[in-house]
Amino acid sequence: MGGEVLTLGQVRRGDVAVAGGKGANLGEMVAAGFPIPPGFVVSAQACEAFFRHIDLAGRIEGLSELTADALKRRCDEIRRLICQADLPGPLTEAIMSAHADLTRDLGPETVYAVRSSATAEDLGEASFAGQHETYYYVTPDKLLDMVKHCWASLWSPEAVSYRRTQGISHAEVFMAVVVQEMIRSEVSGVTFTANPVSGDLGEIVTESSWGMGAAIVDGRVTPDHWVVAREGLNLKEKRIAEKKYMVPASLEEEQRTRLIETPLDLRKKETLTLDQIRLVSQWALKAEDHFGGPQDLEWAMAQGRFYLLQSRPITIMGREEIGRDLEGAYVIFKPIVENFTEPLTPLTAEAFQVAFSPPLMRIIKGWLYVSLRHIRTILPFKLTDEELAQMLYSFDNQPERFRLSPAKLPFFLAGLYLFYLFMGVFSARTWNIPGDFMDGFRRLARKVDEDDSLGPVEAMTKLFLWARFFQPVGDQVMLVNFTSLRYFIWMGLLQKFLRAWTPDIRSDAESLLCSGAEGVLSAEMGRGIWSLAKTAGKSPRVREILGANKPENALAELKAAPEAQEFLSELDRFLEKNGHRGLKELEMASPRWEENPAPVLGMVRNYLLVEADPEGHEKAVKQARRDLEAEIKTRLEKLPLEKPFRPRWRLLMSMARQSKHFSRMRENSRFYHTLGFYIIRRKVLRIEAELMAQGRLKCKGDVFYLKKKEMDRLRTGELGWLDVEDVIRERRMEYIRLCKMSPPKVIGLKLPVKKSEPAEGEGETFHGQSASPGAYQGTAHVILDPSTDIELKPGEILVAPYTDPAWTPLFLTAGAAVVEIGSYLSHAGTVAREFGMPCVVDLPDCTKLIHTGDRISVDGDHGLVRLMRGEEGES
Amino acid sequence: MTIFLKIMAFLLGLTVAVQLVAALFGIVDLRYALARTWPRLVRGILIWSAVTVILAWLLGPVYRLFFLLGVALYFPFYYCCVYLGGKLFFRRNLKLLDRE
Repeated sequence: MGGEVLTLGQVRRGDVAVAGGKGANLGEMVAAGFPIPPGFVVSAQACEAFFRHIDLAGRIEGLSELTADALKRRCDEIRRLICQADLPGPLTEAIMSAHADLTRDLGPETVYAVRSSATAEDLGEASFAGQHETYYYVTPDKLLDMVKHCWASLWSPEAVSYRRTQGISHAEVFMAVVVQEMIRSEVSGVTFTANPVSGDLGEIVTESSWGMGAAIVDGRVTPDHWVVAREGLNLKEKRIAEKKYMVPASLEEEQRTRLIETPLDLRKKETLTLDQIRLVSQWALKAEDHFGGPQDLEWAMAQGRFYLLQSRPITIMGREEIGRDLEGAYVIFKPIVENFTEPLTPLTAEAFQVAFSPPLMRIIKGWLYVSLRHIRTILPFKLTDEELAQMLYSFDNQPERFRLSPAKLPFFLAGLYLFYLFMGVFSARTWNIPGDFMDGFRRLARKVDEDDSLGPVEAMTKLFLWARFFQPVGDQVMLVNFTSLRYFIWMGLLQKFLRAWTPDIRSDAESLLCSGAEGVLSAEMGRGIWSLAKTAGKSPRVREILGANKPENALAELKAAPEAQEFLSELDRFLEKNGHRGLKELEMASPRWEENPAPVLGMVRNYLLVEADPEGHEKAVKQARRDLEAEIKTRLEKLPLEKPFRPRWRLLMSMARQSKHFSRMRENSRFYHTLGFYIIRRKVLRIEAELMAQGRLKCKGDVFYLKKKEMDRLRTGELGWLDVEDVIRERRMEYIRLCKMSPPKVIGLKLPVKKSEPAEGEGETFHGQSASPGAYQGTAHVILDPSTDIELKPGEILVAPYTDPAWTPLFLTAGAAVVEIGSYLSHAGTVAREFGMPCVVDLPDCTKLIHTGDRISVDGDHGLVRLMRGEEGES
Repeated sequence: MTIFLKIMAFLLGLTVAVQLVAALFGIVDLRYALARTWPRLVRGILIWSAVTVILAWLLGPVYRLFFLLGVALYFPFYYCCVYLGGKLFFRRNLKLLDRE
């Protein structure tokens, strides 16, 4: 073997100029005794000789001075030249000889990973992530071509531009290429020697899944999650995911997508034994020891053997890092995040950016934030950043007193009047309007859906943003939603008058008076699911299928059972009306019930399991409301002039009616928002299908990690799969990392944490926000995903990150609810009030602070949750 | 004082026009259910037309013109805000997006 091709064992950490950064790193690990898959390196000198052989120097002259278009043309030419030229004979022989040596050890059916390993990777701060190519599943006949393709990736317009901005001479950069056996792994994964989310150095975090590692590295599957303590390697946390997809060890010739469905029996099976987790952790610690800092390892297991594929320094990004580079202070926009705490995918984030005006509203790492600076210019009060942030975050957090700014007051009043002139018409149009006035939106949505000339942006414009002048107000659901905020005014007035006239009335009186509004579509949806459960309950066979199968598999079984036809017909009718709904429905990437009705079947199953009686519950609430009304009437009669004319009673009832009207308007406008978003999703999915058919996208769901401009350029052919592959992977990985943390409430300032010191003998008390009054003590049950964790025993306290309609059945058996994020009008609060149970929302990290089995007391009147130590709590 | 009152009359005209426009929009908003909602629709239009006429009459000749000017100018103002304003807002946001 000559100097142009080296085995990995011949390379060391200092050989970057020969083997490139990646090759040198792998060589170092081989020398240190790590189990690295065998391979060889085609050196940078071979690349240099080849470039000389094809006389590349002449073509790269003046490259830095070219315009973007000219640069693209020149780069295309250079890449074509490299890929089409023959390798010099001696180099071809050296590569094939190295390959023959490998094949002798491994067998002829081996496939290879061919990876670029640039020598410029050691140049200062430069990062070439995503610019140079890697090819997997390379068969021997393609080996030489792929080596040339790796070299050609040095000359993509992006790589050239990047070197230009970094001041790196094009003539000095060469590329080594690493050729390694692709391990046909049964299990693969990643391991971090420090918790990448919390930064905890005492924890080793491993994520593993079936098949090849690409599915995890690209973030396409939810892997099993294991946390072990660095000391003693004892298991601290284990989360077994449902691994629906995997990347197989071999790729069929005509296979367009890399992912295949995981066999059913493996989906929920643990991918690692405790011994294997310890083995992986030990290797991870060895790597950390060797490289002198926390490491992020990619590994694989095949036929019981462990292989280390890559080790690199870990990137830890804590919550405090988010938005650190931004100027100004921001507070999170709660109405979105209270529906789901995960960030928005890039495509959805862009859609929100168009709908909400930047710079007042801004997407930061996928979460929507409000700029305090811009709000401050509008408000006529002297408020500190902290006071303003608290106030914007929750209406409950009012400053102790408002200090007026006289200079701003005239501008504020003028602005307010202008705002009235603009919004007053919309407000008046939705005042006292029949409850069904938004039903026409469904027709508009269908029309937009069927119009193929409208892309996602145009659809969004038509459905949400750009109303025709004579468009019915019911078709302008975003504005309707905005005007429904009057609910707070009426509810506030009702509370004030009710407490003034009947001071010692029950604490949930206002909520009870405003409950039971007719025509609330989400409540009707809940009744629809209950009706489905009743139909299912009538047939033992349907009951059996739903009970014995996972919701994902139950549908196929139901379709095959003649006894299930009545249930299926009802399900179809239900989906026709509610099929646009789903989990995380403001996120375009989220599948809807129409596409996958498994969550509906899961809810039906939950209803069957808990054997609850929502109808009986509704009747009980109705009766409680009647009793309360009678009580208020009797108490008011003691006040002057009440008996003959009932003025106070009439006023209170009128306020309760208005509150119900606007509450229903808010809920129903949200129902139609989600329909609009579904239509936009359908448009995006059609584009995705088109791009996948053309081979410009390879995996379902990737389209949501693109930006609109990139999607457009893929459609016109300006970009191809290779141009977006790395971008998608990086964004997906960042998205996954961000999903594991809850969003910071504020950016650019610190808010004091409300936490009481425990009194003697008492546990800690946490402050949240009251969403439903009442008090309750019981055992906590932390549930992170209602589709997998459904066993909430009657009377247990539900502790959740957020809730949406899929969680509703759990409220039937819960004694109280505690939710990480939310507000009075969030799903958790609304449902808890309907069910008459205490609920505390907006308690950050409650799913971590409270553990399943903890005894806690929930004070819904004051928004407090107390951990009880050594107390036998009673409901 | 007179100028101040004239401005107030103009603003009153704008304010009343908000309700009048909203009542007229009832024809569009409730057309799906005209058979059952026409009495309140007609009532709304009649009430706010009557309020406009009565206020114009009550304000007397000095301020009537400013009041009616407020009512009349509100229509083009509203059209610009809702239609053209929405269009500009949307275009601006799209441009910002393209620039990123």
